[in-house]
Amino acid sequence: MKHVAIVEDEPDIRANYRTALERQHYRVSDYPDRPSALAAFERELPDLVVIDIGLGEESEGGFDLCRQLRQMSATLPIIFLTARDSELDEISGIRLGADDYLSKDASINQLLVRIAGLFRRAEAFRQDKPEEEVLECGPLRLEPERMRVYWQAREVPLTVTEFWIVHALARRPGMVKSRDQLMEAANIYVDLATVTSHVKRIRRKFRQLDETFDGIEAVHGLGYRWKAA
Amino acid sequence: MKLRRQLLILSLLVLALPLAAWQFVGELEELLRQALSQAQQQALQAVAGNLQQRQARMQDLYDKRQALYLQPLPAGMQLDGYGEDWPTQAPQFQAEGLQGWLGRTADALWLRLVLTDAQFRFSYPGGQQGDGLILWLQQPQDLLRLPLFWEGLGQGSLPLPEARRLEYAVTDLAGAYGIELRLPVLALKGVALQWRNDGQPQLRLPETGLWPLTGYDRSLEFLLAGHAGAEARYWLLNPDGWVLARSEPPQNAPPGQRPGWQNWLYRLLSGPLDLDRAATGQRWRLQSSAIEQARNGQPAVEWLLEPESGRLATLATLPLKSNDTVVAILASRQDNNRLLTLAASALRQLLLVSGMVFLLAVLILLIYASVLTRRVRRLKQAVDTAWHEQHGLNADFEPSRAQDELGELSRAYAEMLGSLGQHTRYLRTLADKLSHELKTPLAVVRSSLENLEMEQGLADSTYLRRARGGLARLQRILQAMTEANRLEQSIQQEPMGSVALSDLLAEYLVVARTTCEHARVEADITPGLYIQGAAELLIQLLDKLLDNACGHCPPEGEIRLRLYTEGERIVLSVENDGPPLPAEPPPERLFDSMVSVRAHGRERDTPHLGLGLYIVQLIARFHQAEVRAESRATPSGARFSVYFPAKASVA
Repeated sequence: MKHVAIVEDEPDIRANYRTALERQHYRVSDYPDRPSALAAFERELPDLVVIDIGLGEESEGGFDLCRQLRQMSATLPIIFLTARDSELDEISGIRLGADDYLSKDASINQLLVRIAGLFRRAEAFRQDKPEEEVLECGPLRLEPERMRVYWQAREVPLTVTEFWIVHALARRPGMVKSRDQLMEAANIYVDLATVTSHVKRIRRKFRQLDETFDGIEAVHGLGYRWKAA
Repeated sequence: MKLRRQLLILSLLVLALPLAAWQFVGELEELLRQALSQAQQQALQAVAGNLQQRQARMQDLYDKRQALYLQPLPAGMQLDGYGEDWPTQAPQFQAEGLQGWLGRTADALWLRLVLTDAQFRFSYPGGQQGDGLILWLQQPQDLLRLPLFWEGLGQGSLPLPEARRLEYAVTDLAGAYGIELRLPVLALKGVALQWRNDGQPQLRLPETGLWPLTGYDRSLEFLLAGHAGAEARYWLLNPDGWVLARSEPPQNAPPGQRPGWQNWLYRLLSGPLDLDRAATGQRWRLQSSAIEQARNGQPAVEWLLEPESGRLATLATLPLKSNDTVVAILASRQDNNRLLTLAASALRQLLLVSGMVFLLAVLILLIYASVLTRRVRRLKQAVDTAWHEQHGLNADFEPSRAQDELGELSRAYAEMLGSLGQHTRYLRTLADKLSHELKTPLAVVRSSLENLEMEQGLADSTYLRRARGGLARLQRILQAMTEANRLEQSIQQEPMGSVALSDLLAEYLVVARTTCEHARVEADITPGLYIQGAAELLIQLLDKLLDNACGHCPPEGEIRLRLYTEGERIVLSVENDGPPLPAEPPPERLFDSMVSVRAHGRERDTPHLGLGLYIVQLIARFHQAEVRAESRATPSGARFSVYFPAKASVA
């Protein structure tokens, strides 16, 4: 049984998430603040951690906890929960090594999908078996099982959401995907502008490896498409 | 009225300066004139004192105070009964129907009479005596009685003792008769005459006795000569103003100035002085108000501006009294042209200086007004800029350090703008804070609902569905609230590039038609227009404009997208049929945050927080573009335009 830890200062949300996760047959531990969580993690590391960024008095306690967790384990999957939109940018900017992040707007289902996705990726990583469904498109290489993306043979550090967006675009190069379709692909149900900012972040991550990257093209008023090389 | 004009009018007050100076010069001149008058009077007193010491002379003057004056007549007098060659026209003596003049030339005595008796009758030779005259002449030895009766007009003569003849002439003067007599007798002591009408004595002049005679007396000249000078002349006059003696006229009197602006100015300055009255009149009789006063026993000084020469002079008179009777008048005329020159030059100086002061004052006031105006204008501009530049409301408002009221005003503005800025910033983050605070309880509600749904299998429950619907709406509201703020934070990082605006709009038209289904969407697009910008932001801008147009456009109405150039600028506008813009708030305020005029009704599930057009403005500003909202008259509607700056070259 997978062990999921939730660090969330709001007791009602914490309890709700716990119930939902337990229904999926995860073993769940929850902690209201950073010190109690850290104390527990030092005794035993869970298989996955969901952390709220603002933890009671510590408005960025989640970031600190993430940093400390990364020192304990480099591979432990971590999902951030954010209440603020502005924090989304911060997370990607700080690049603390979180594997994904989710707005509190998101439904429990989305959380469950992300958790499952991360476990799948961790599993694939652990087995390290070659994947048959690998997608190659010019310098782009997508490994859906391990949720890994490579550009010019270098790995692009995408989150799960970002991975699914790229996956949805690159599977049909040249075909326009609307924002709604992308949301669907990534299993997120937020506003259209959030898709736009996800695409922006994806571009940024690619450009950090290759300044000339322009694989994702905006089609005015319609959506985005993967530019066939 | 502009400040500058107000100050200019204020500067006219400086004109009071020359007015005051004018008053001052006038008073000074008055003082000077008094001093001069006094000096002249004193000189006359000295002459009078000298004369009064001579008892015999005074007695003589007393005796002859009412004597008839033998006025010296010019050479070449015509004995014709006409008075043209007589220097004085005013009679020396008169009675009812009679006027008389008396004078003398070098060799004879002249008498002129004018009879205004229309019933004059001549005598018939050897017959009835007509109207006539009896003349008594007191000679040193004897009294001569001369009866004069005429037989007609014309000249004639009468024999006199010692083989002399009295010559006469009678002439008709139209309603009067002129009689002129010439007597070759010089040493006369007195004279009397009687008019006879039809031989009857009518009128005797004087009534009793004889008129003593007097005339110019050279023996008196020495009294005056000592005082006279180049600029002064003296006269001794009998009470009637006839000249008894006078000093020689100055030999080389300075040439008078032409009457000109100085005289005019002086007349203006000296005010009530009657300067126009010509002095002195004739050679042998002086007539003026000063002499009139002296006759009445009062010394006087009269200022004269001689019209001919344009010279300023004073005539001073002093009555000479004996036994309380005025027996003679001393008069002197002093040339005071220097005063005129002085006053004129003082006035000239005054006008010059006050003119310069005036100009200087106006100049300084103008400069001051300009500085003041510029300061006020700069303040106004700074406030305007700070007011319109909603980003960092007080960031670019530099309060003045000046210590005056304007500086205080500026500082007060800075303070006001500062707190306004704080308020605006608070308002701007309010939505963000609010949405943040709302998200957590919202998450509680949602996760609870979801759990409820999964656990109890109540997915089809009506109440649950409604709860989820409400939740979704709440969420959309929160998103709309934060959209502007998020855009504001991220907009500066947007990369700019060349955007084919014409192509972009053409593509967008397709989307617009699907988005706004209840209205027709048309477009007029000028092809080939490029701007520097961010395509995604421009799409967002179009979305908001279209959303706005769509919301106001009635079903089957028309929405028209237009792209064209206006001068150097590229204009993107979205017009829609529908109601015109309301008067309140003013159109430019529509682009401000949280200003909405949308009537709530149709799309109830879409929140309108007045942020759409604010986002348009944010994006436009990022492109250095200007936004404008205006009503369209025919057909009724509204137009929202974005004016992009100069055309960007095709990259």
